[in-house]
Amino acid sequence: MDAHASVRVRIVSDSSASRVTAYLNVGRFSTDLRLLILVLCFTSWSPQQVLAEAPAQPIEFPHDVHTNAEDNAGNAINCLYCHSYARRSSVAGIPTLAKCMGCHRYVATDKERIQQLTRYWEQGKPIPWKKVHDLPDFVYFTHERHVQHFVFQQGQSVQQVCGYCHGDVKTMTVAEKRRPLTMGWCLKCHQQFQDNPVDVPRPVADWHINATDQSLKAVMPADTAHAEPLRKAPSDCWECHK
Amino acid sequence: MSFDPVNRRTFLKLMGVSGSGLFLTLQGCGNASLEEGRETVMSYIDPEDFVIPGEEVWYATTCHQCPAACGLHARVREGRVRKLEGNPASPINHGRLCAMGQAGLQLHYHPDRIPQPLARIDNRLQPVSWDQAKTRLHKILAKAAENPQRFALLSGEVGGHLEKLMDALVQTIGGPSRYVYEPLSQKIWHSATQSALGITSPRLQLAQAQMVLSFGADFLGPWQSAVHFAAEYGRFRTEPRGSLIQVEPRMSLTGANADWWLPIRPQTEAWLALGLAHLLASENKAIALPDAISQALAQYDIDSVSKITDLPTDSIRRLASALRTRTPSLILAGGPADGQVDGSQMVLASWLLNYLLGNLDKTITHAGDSPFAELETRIGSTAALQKLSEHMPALDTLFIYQSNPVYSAPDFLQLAAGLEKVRNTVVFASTLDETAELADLVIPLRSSLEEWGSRVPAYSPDQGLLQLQQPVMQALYPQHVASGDLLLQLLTQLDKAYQQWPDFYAYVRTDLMKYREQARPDKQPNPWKLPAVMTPPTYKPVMLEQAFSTDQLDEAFWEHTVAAGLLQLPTQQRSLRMQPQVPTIKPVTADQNFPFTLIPFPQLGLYDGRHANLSWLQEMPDQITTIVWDSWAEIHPETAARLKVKTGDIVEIRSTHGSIKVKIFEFNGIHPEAVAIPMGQGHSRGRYAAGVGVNPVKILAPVFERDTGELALYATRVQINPTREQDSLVKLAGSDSQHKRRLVRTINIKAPDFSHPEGSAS
Repeated sequence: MDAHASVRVRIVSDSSASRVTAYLNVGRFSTDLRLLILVLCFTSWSPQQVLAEAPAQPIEFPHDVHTNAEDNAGNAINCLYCHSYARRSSVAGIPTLAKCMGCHRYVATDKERIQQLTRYWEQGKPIPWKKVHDLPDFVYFTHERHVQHFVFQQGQSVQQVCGYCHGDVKTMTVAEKRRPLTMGWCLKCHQQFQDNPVDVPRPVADWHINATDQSLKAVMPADTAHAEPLRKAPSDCWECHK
Repeated sequence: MSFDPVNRRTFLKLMGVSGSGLFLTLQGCGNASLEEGRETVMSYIDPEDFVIPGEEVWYATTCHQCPAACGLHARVREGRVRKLEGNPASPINHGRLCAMGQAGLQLHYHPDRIPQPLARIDNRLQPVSWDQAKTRLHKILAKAAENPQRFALLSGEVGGHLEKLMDALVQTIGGPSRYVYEPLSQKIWHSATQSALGITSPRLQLAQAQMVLSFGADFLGPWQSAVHFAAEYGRFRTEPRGSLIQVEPRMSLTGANADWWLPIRPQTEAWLALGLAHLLASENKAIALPDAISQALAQYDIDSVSKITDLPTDSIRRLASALRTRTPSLILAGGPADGQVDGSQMVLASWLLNYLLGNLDKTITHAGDSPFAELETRIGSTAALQKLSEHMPALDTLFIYQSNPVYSAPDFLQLAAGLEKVRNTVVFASTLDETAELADLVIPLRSSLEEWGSRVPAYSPDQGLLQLQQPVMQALYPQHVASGDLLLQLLTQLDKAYQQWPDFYAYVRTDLMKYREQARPDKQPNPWKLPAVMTPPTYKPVMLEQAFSTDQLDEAFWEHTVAAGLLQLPTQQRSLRMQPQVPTIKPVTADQNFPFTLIPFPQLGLYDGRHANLSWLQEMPDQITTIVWDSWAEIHPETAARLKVKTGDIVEIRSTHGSIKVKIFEFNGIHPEAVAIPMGQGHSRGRYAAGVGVNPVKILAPVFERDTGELALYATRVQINPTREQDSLVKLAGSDSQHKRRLVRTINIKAPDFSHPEGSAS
């Protein structure tokens, strides 16, 4: 990064009663100030905190409208309906345009955002969504293992399971980064399982979200193709750093 | 190279500053590219059901890196091909793939690929739009059709449906001229084999042989079908272990694997073959030879053969005795043995030996009559290029498809000068090579991983085999028109009948449908199956027509064929018949001014030079010398001592038709009268190829094979002139000597001397 550039840092915190937004212009010689602010930022992380300003998306996708409960002006769509690859692949994937158009050929066609979507579909171009969550290339993380374990074997709610790492998405419009996704943070769960029987993660009390969906275990048969025996969460280095 | 002095104190200061900077960058800025919205994640538009992000999908297709046409499985993830492997279902390569095949991926993603068409404007190649290029191409074609005698099409070995369309284009224009050129042509072998056995490509069953005697045929290297023969060789060497004897002037990869390697004087292999035939025929009266042949063989007595070939009589007797006792055997000829003036005679002599040893129908069998006769690959030749260069002054329009003759042809053909006189040269190429550089119009091609195609391999263990090629990902340059589509468009311009096929895919699919009946499940060993949903519980092949519509059956057959990557049909095998022919070879006259024979040998890597722009293959060490990124001249240490040169010295290799400067590599595996230089280097274009090494083919003399008119690749005489220059060779292996460390201890079996300090291995 160019040391001469002026860097704008935005800190949003919901942990205090009043929402504090600070814009700081950090100049050439204030690297120690940046360090201080950011160290404070990480050490005082709270589950509801937005860790990074969400990038501007090509279409302002409203997660809340899709996933919120029906009595809360939402459509109560299960996360796995759109991010259907999460249970079958290491990546959750972005829903295909065909899937979006499956509904939006007919639904809300008068909305500007849907017309924008339709234009992409008609031109046969993929939507260049901006990445919100990412892990370094030296980390091997698999959605499939986590979703299969918590959703299909333990029977937890999908919203809750996705929410461990992605926050309460049903309250967001475009996705925001609510968890640091650092190694220490991952280990908060993984280390716990070294001593205790497999259960819900300990930090769940802190990270609990008000899930509005039902357990899939009752309505969906066990996914035998991906089923694995329950086991403790691994904490060996090579499990994530292949 | 010089460095600014950095003392310890400055170094530590710098490390301290950069270390804290790195810490701040990592800790303070987080994942900056993400937060600034510079990382995108693309969704699919409407993928197949089986496509899952993060999960690989394997597609079957066909390799285009050499004429062997191995079956491929391409690993695709997120719409990008990432790895190539062999297709286990292919009887050619049985799931294996050579280094050249692996490097097909690099060719696909090569940064030198031409992004848009180029046209010569103001005597300079300049990018033009596809519309402009097509308009120009159609105009050139219309003019060519007016005067068909002044049009010609040159290509490499293409095969399959593309070959059919190329033939159709030349015929529709009305011109007589379709030239198929392959620098490493097997034409001499095919032609002589046709004359001996009546078929061009019999099945060579190494695995069935007790012994293989190969005259220069580098079957573990680039001879015919490397991966196929490597697998055959594996079976040949398993219990009971067959013996391999290799006779050649320069040790090839196959020679290095042989039990016994005989360094024969260059250009005399046919004498040894006929000398052996004489010995065997005179001792084995069971197989009666016509008198004319027996009489002709009489002149190849062991003493004169020994004198001519520079092999001891003992060795020749041992060889004959081994052939007599180890049956069935297999005698092969290729490379430096058939690239001679008497090349056809050499191949015929090898068939005569096989005949005398009773190998026909044992280790050499009929491969069956091809059901794909009209799709067969036309064997390329070097004589075609000679004819083209003669025809060139009379040409107005020349199409060159995927061939680089300006690089690979000898200088005496003066091809570059000839090309410049042709008014319209259209080159279809994927990178700007030496030939494309001289073109008036360059049409960029898709890679073989981006388009449909088919191929009937020139050497196939089963003649009923068609390899299918399918696009495994979307084109990197989507505006590039696939070769087949472009040919159909050009044909449609001349003949409206071709309008019936909307694209090349439709053309291939419609054509292959006619084989559906032959490929019925009850008629072939590798049956195609109906998809599970369509298979009735009481499924019987005879019910097919009654139970399903033609469309359903077509679809099931096509899906099976595409998924398998090949179509295999049953063939009728016959027994082989051979009419022995009277051998007529002439001795090569020695020229004191040019005392050495030049052996420009191909390697499994750069091949004939077409892969020199692939850095993976440049980086791959030569299998024998382990040299990388260079050319070298192998000479025997005795020759080197006589010429007072050593490894690394630069010498001038001069023939009657030119000279090249190259570094010496002293090598024990070469006859003292030969000098061997690898083919493939010496390019002037290509970011990885240009300026590396020399091209030995450039200095070849116009010596041609007597029967076929093919260029005799290994028959040029040269002289070696030392210069005072010197350079080093980059190679993986350290030293040929053990430096008295006694790593490998050997003894002379005839006179064991256990006190020898190092042994004779160094």
